[in-house]
Amino acid sequence: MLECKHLTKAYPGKGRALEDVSFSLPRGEIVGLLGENGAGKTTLLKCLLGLLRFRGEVTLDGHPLAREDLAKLSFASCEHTFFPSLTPQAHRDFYAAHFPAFRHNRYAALMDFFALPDHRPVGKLSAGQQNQFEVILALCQGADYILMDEPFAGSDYFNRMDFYKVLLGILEPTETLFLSTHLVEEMAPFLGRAILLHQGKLVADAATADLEEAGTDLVAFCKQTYQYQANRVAKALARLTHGEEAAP
Amino acid sequence: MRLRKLHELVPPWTDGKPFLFSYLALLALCLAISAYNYGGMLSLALSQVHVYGQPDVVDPGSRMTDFADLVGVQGAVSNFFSHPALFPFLLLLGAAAALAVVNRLSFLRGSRSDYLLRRLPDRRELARRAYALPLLLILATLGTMVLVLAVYYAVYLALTPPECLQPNQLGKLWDNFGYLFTPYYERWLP
Repeated sequence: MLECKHLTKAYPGKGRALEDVSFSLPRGEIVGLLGENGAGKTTLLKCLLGLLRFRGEVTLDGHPLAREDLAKLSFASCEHTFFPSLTPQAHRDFYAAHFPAFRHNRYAALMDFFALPDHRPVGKLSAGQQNQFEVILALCQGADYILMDEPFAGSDYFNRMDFYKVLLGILEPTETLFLSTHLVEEMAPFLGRAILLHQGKLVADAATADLEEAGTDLVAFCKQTYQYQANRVAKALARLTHGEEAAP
Repeated sequence: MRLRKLHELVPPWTDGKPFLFSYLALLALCLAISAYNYGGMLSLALSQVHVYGQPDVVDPGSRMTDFADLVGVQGAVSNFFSHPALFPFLLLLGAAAALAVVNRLSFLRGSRSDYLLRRLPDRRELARRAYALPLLLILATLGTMVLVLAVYYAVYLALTPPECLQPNQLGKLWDNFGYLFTPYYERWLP
């Protein structure tokens, strides 16, 4: 189990990006990390991976996360972590050399599914293809905990829908997927649990099964949690149209 | 600790050979320029201890320019590096240092590939790929400078008439480096 305890992160001169965030990620779950822009989702993922300094503790199976444990965590970042000048084939060789648990069969299958060219530098691929390749590397590293930061940005709708199904099919029962996304409606059927951040604080941690038992769904729960004002659009339009009528 | 291959000491998108070949070419150029400059200065100094118009006749009572002055003005290590005989190597040192910066910044170009290297089991992977080769090139350059100085000194001794040679040549050369080891607060004492 990956645990995050009282995690706090402050950027100098910018205030706290995360404040006292605590949660756990058991093996085998698909967990969504939701929140508005600037809520701290990317910061949280980077802190879990040790890419940022923070206060608090991240433990794996009860022990502080050590250097040798980092191979059990993989990361697909919206900023991309691949080498733009290297081909996918060279990336595969690099990953295989540094991550002994690299999944060659899964890599070949996903490359084929996305129809990505193996011998063109990744930097020369389209933005959507780069995102897909970033996700492939994270899924094939051989990690137990797969962290993704808005992995489906830039992918078209049909590609996304097919990929969700492939994802559910290939993930093993012991693999945990923790991904941040804005595509709540699309991802809701695939998530077992959702962690909601708001202005750096953890405001909700709900299992989708519990939400269903309570007679609601993830989208409605998010709206309620973030106090979404359903009439804000009507108000804005009313103000705009009345303003135009009042102008000489 | 095992000996690393060249491709493990450079960013993953290169095998390091272009860097190495470029460095060797620049080093050869530095050696040529340095030798040309030193040869010119040595030749001029030798001419000053010989009778004008008679290159085989030593001028009685003349003193050969100190070796330390042929490769740098005495009293300051900065003058040592700015002297024509060794200045080319200073440029090469600067190029190697710049390579370290370029290498490190290259992991931020087009992506954040430094995030991947920082997640690898070897915590030194990122630093090794960014800085190892530049550091080796700096050490190689400094080593070459020491060898070049030794060669220049041997040539100086071989060509200088014994009667014109001033004593304590190595001590005077060492004085150029004395500033490196003098506490800063003593440097300006009267």
